Formats: sequence, structure tokens, C-alpha cells
Amino acid sequence: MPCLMEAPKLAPQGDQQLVQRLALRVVSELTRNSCPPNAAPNAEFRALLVQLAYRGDADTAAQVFDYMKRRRMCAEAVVDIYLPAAVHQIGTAWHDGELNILDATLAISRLQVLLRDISSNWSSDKTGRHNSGRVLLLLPPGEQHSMGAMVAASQIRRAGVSVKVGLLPDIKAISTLMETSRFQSVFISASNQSVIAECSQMIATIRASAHPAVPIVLGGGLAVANHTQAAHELLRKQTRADHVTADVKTALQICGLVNAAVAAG
Amino acid sequence: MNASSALLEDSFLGAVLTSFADVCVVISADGLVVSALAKSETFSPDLCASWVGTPLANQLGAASARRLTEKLEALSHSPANSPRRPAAWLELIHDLGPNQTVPIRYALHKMPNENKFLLAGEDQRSIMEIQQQLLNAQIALERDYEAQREIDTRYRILMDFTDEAVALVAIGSGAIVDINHGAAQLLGYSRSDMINQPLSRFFKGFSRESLLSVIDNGNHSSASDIRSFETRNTQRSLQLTGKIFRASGEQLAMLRLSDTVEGTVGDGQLISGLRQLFLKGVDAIVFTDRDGTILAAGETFLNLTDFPANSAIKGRSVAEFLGRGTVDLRVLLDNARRAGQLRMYATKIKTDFGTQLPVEISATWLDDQFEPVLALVFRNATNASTVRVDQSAAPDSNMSNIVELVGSSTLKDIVSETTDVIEKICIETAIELTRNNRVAAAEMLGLSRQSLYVKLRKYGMLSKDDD
Repeated sequence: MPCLMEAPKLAPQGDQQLVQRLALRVVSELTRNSCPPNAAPNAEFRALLVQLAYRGDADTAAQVFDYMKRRRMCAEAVVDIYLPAAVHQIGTAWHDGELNILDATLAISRLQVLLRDISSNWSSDKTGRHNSGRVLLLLPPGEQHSMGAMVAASQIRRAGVSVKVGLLPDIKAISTLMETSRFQSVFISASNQSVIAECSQMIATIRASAHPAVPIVLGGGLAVANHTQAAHELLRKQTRADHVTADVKTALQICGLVNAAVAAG
Repeated sequence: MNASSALLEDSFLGAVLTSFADVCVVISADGLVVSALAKSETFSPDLCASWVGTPLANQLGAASARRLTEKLEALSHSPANSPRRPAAWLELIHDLGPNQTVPIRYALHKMPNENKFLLAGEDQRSIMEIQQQLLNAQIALERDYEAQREIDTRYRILMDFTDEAVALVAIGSGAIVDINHGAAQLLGYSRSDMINQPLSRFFKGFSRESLLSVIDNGNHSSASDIRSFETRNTQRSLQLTGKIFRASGEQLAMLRLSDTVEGTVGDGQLISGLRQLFLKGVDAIVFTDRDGTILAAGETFLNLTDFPANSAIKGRSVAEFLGRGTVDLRVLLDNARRAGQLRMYATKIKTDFGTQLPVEISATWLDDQFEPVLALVFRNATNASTVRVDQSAAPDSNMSNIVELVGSSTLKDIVSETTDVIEKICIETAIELTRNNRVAAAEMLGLSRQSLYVKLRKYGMLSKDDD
């Protein structure tokens, strides 16, 4: 293979090297920006993820990782864009009757394994300073799927904020957590309209704890489905949360974890 | 009686249908129940009879009623089902009263010659029970995973913060399973380079027997029996003591490494020398945290910036001292974080009196510890151009090179040449990644095979055989 230094046509040797350095800087920038925040999801990769969810076999998993490698697709984009898109597609297939509930649940479980694999290195705890953020993330009793909460947990960890995840905790467990630990904010990930009462009860428990002023943010599928400002305001009143948002970055920002939110963005 | 109601009221046909389905309902296009039949364990005959003449939606939860209406609307104008037009599926929740629901998965068949639908349903309660077990298992798995994450963090912090230098070694293979930074430092390697490597690689004359003897001594003997081994990389004599334990069927040794002369973490001559270099070295050394806040700065940095005392700059952002401020800091942090280091970054440093001095900065990201630190070495570059002749050794991101380039050619020429070089680099990379598979490389680059050949020829990347 010819040497990189043989750049075509530019006259003086010194200039060629300078152009090459500039080019490498551009390439480096291109590489760094391989996760455009609002990019439209690549349909081919999303289909591959859905195929992995339905089959769960090693070959498809290998294809997913191979695709990510070849297309310089970063894990952040997979977690933030493609996994939610694939979950949405599976949910729609169930809604349309193309998939029974058991197959849909199995499919989402398989995506959750992928989420765990690709986000295992995002650990805010290893480098956490005493003044960096600590968040309690709760999945209310009555919720069925933990996928949304685990995606949020991985996004928060990636932002350098330490997360304690409470999955379907009972009231006593929440009281104990609030007595024994000190969190800078509490995030609740709720998807079903039917768990609003549980959210409200959890929030009342936190308000009655030793740290009643901790900011509480309600998010998850519920905030996505009821996306208007008026709907968020209604949810806030119904649950007595301080804020309602479907976006982890916004949640971190409004809780004063601004630096972390910048990192997440 | 028309055909659709006769379908379920005919006892033979009804028996046949309910042998395949748990519940069968015929409804009109507007959702009224024409007839209904079910296995008694799903719905009682009386209940089914009570549905007739009422909307099926009345028997359903609100969300299910909505979905049924949507589906009927969508199917009302479509032709009847046939083998080529399979039934549509719909999962509906029957609401029988407080806390009493029955999920049914219906196949919707549009009936021939009538604007009616036959709904053949499967009772999903047993499926839902399995699904609930699956969800419970998933939650349990996630809880275990979170607990494991917490334990991993505690273990890692314990390993990194203890003053002891320790290593875990598999007795069978002699390979290092884990080692803390203290031990890795004593042996002169980084932790990641040592994992899964045989311990014998890091000591002179170390064998499996040596390992076993160390463990034996750790179990029962006096201090005089403790054995020492010389390290290969750092030429230090280290005492090894150990304990054996079992984990998941494997025998492991926990080894403690200690240097009786210079202390466990080697705070000897090297550290003393480094401290002096930091304080008095000819180049200024500054340590910052991950955000660029100064943790410590040597005497030379104070001299360079004309600041009177270390206390005046500690806790301030290093950006305050850099010519381009936060822009410089961002370049330094980004590159050091990404590549581990950045060599000879040219900028200016601001002094306390408002003047600026040209400097070259080398940045190193020290992340082999709990809290990453950015180490910056500032070299006064006032006379650098006369000292350094070979500009080609400068780094990719040296802004002064780009300044020279911008002065020597038009923007159009620079962009054109840059594009060529980028194209060439990308093609070379694609060829390398695909191990010279031109078809795959063309696909990777989004080029036709012919276009790839044209570009390969343009950049002289075709061999004589290719032509």
C-alpha cells in the first residue's frame, strides 16, 4: 500500500505535510462527531436490532456489533436513539396484533441484555467526587418493563452522576433509602397511566422523609405520551412531583447537576 | 337467522369453533355483538348471552375498546379474509368488574358477503402468568446486576486505595487475575498490561514452585522464611507473602508485595527526584483536575506567570493563564482525554502583569488512578524557532502550522488538497479494514466499484496486476 505521505499534486513537500496534518485534524473531528444528536435513525440498523430482539441468537448479536464497528456507531447513539426506536417498533407490532405479549416481552428482554452489554463501562461511581451528583432513580410498583428506567440509568451514569436504581420498591424500602442515603434528586421513570397513584404515594413518602426538599422529577413513557406542557402540568399536580420531563439531560439541568447535563449532551 | 349468527348457534359448528378458540364472537361493523360462544372456563354461557345486542366495547377496558374501534374502522372497507388475506390479530382486555380482567388475543376474520366480523379468541391468562414470571425474573436480574455493580465498585475502590500492594493469581495457570495499582507500580507496569499475564513474567527466576512456596510461607512460618524476588522491570527486591483461597471452583492466591527498603508504594528516590523536578525543573509543571482547575503548580510556573505564591493560583482554572483561554483548555483536555497525551501545543501564557509569552504545552492524562489528573508541562517558546529546525516533528494540532498553510495558499487550494488527502486516507482505511476486498471497501465507502477504481488509480493505489 502506498505511503500516506505521497499526497498528490501539491508542490512543496512541507506544504503536503501541512495539508495532511490539517486533513487528519478534520478526520479526527469527523470521528468525534460520529453521534450527531438529532440524526434520523438508520433504518437498516434499527431493523437489525429488532431482528436481534426477535431472535436473540449469537449470529445476529455479532452482526449488530459488526455493524456498529464498521459504521463508527457509538454506544451512546445506540442507547439514546436506536434502542428506544426498536422498543417502539416492538410495542407497535404488539399493539397491531402482529406479536403476542410473551414474544414482545422476550424481545424487550433481549434488548435489555444488549443495553447492559454496551453500557457496562459507563460507571460514574469509579470517578465520582464527593460533590458530584447522586440520584435515586425509581421504577414505581405496577410498572412491568424496566427497560426505560435502565436506559435512563445508563444515560445518567454516562453524565458522571452516581445512580441508585430502585426497581418496584415498596414504601418501606423508599423510607429506608431516604433515611440512610443522601440524594441530590429523585427521578421516577413511569410509563403507564395506571401507576400515577403509586407515583403519588412514593412522592408523599419522600416528602415525609428526613430530606423532604429533595427535587423530584417524573419522567419516562408517561411524560413522552403526555408531551404537551399542559399535560405535564397535570401530571405534576396529580403526583406532586416538582418537575415533569421526558429528557434526562433536562432533568439533570433542572436539578442543578448542570455540568453533568453538559457531559450527557 | 342469517349465516353469521347461525355460525355460532349451530351446535356442531359452535363445538368445532370452540375446540380451536376459547371464545368466539360475531360482531357487526359498528361493534354490536350478534352472537357469542365461549369455553365455560373462560366466560360463562350466561355472560356470553348477555352480550348479544350490546357493543362488545362495553365488555372491554377503555384502551381495548379504543383499539377495537380503530381496528374495525380500518378493516371495514377491506375484502373478506381468505387464505391469502390472513386474519388481523388484536389483544383485548375484558373487564368483568373490580380487579377482574381477562386478556383475550383475538383473530379478526372479516366474513364473506356480510359486513360482519368473527372474532376467535385465545384466553391469555396462562400466557400472562408466564409473562409476569418473565418480568419478575427480569426485574430480579436487573436488581442483581445493580447490586453487582455496587459490589464491583466497592471492590475496585478497596483495591485502589489500600496502602498494600496486592495481586490475585490463579494457582493453576499462574496468571494474574487482578492486581491493584500499588502492586502494578512496584512492578513497573500499568495494571491493564498485567491482567491475564503470568506473574513469572514480571520477576526474575519466578516459577510455579516459587508461587507455591510463597503461599506455604504465608500459611505457617516466621518472618525469616519470607521470600524475596527481583522484579524484571524495576530491578527491585520485593517480598511476597500470600494466602490461598477458592472462588467459583478455582484456586486463587492473594499475594502481598512489599519493598522493605523503599516502602510498599516505592516512595523512595524516584518520588523525591520527581518532587524536586516539579518544584525546580526548567520547564513549568502544573497538575489540574479533570476540569482544568489547578491542583498544584511548581515554582517555575510561578516564575513564568510572575505570580507571587502557589496559593494565589491553586483552585483557579488554568484557562485563566492561557492566551486563548477556555479554547486552549478545551483543546488540551479533549486531546489528552481522548489520546492520553498531546505534545507541544503552541499557545501563549498570560503573566500577572498582563503580558503574554509564547509557550509550548505537553499534556498528559493521568487516569491510572481513582481521580484522573491532567499533567501540563509548559516550555517557554520565546526562542523555540531558532532551537527547533525540524517542523515536521510538530503535532497534528499545532495551530502555528495551520497559520503557515493559510498564508501560503488560497482557501480553494487548501480545501481541494485537504479533500484529496481525506479521500485517500478513508480509502486506504477501508481497503485495510476489508483486507483488500474492493467490493466490501466500495460498499463501506458508499461508492460504486467503478468509482473506487477511479479513485484508487487517481491516488496511485493500484498495483500493476490491478491494471
